[in-house]
Amino acid sequence: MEVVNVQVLGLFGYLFAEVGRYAYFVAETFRNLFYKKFYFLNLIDEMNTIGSRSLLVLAPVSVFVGMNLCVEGFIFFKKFGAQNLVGMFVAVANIRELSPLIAGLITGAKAGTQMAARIATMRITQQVDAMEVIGVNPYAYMIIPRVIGAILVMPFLVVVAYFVSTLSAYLVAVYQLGLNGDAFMNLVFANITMQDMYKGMIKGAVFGGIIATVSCYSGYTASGGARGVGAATNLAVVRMSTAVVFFNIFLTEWMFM
Amino acid sequence: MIEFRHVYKSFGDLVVLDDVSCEIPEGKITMIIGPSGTGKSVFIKLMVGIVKPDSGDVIVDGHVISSLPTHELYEVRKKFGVLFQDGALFDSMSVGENVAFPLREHTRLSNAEISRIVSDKLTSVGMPNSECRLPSELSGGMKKRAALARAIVMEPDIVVFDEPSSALDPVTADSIDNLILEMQQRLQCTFVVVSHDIESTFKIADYIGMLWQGKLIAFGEKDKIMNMNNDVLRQFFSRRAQGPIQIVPPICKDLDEAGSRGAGNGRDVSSKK
Repeated sequence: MEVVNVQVLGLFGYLFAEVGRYAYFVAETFRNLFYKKFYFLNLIDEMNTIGSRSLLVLAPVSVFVGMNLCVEGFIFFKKFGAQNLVGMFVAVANIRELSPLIAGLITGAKAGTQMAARIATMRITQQVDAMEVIGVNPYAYMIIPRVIGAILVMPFLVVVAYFVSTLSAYLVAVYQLGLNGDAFMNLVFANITMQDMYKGMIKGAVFGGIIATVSCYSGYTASGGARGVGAATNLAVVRMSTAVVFFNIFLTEWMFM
Repeated sequence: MIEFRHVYKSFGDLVVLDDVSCEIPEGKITMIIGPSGTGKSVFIKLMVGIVKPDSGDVIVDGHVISSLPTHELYEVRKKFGVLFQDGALFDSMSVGENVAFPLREHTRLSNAEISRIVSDKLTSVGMPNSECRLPSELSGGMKKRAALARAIVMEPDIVVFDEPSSALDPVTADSIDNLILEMQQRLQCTFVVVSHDIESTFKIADYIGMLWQGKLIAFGEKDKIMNMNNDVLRQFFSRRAQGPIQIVPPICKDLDEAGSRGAGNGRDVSSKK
């Protein structure tokens, strides 16, 4: 029993220490926002990488999510004879929850892991040390462009995910489930406002910040050769997907309650 | 001038450097030698401020490295050119972009001037016309040459080498030694070389410092150190497994026994076990 307690305490100790180190990393990142040089070209490059890489996976996944959402909504509402309300369900669930979450998780899996692996490789092969010795601030050169890039790109990925999944839901509703297309779209437009759209985009921006800082932190603190790169990438996925889902609860309560 | 004053550094329970003090002379080649795992690379990292000492000071041209704020530390680092163990070339950039990187960051030179300087430096390290090659296309020796070109491109006051001849064949290692000698004569700046290569040490060092068990057990001019009556130095210079330096105790014990019996090499001994 004592051994178990020690293990539990050890786990909590490790978690607290990790959260502390991550908080320090985030604080350092923000402190270096005001470093004398801002690498604008690196920011553009990162935005392009994050956007283009994630979009290729996000678009097809959003198609499937929209289709699935429509079918599930149809099955549920049919019990009450209200299957025509499926457009409302799709609109609200999509913009408030699913589109930001799907965009966050796909961007994390695609661009986040790439960030973690890239920075971990640079750390392990002493490229980060080389950068510091050359007199270039690694936070300013490679962390901040990634964090800002993810924060700026993610809201647009949320919008893309929303439109693609709503369109796919519409096509399933009309051509597979035989619902009225005009009624579907009327319910979509009647139940979401621009505010919902902005709030979904804000969620996306917050998720972007979480994904980039967690990925960069996992890579930046990597050690131990090729195994270290693998471990950093693996940790990045676990940490960022947990953090995105966890913070989604607070964001939903804060913005929609 | 670089000065270590009573520097102490540990990682957890492992004491890496214990009360290390020395003054590295200007305009000379100083070799810091010692068995693997004795803190030679940490010595370099302390010098350039990547690692901070637990106590004591590292002073570079009057600046106490460990107490400098970040922006001043980056300024002091401009005095240094560092060649890391595996070169540490940025693998997303070509060789030319790697060498040009410090110039683009710290100068306002035109692209044409940067290209000319990069070409000159690459030629001086024996790699002409290799600007467009990627680090992944280079051999170990070429990576080190390209990294040396990047280290000297800002014409630093101090050039630091971390194991410049490790993982190289003897001929390439000798060519790197010659390059270090040639560069030092041409640039007349301070060179600090961390190595455990005895042949290189005898060939290129002006001053030698020996690290063992976290202590700097000897530091001085090459001839003085080579003639010192110290068991650790003698064992290290004669490349013997028997002596006070015990890297892997069981194997060394076997070798000791084999040596006393007049048996063959270590493999023979272990196969008999």
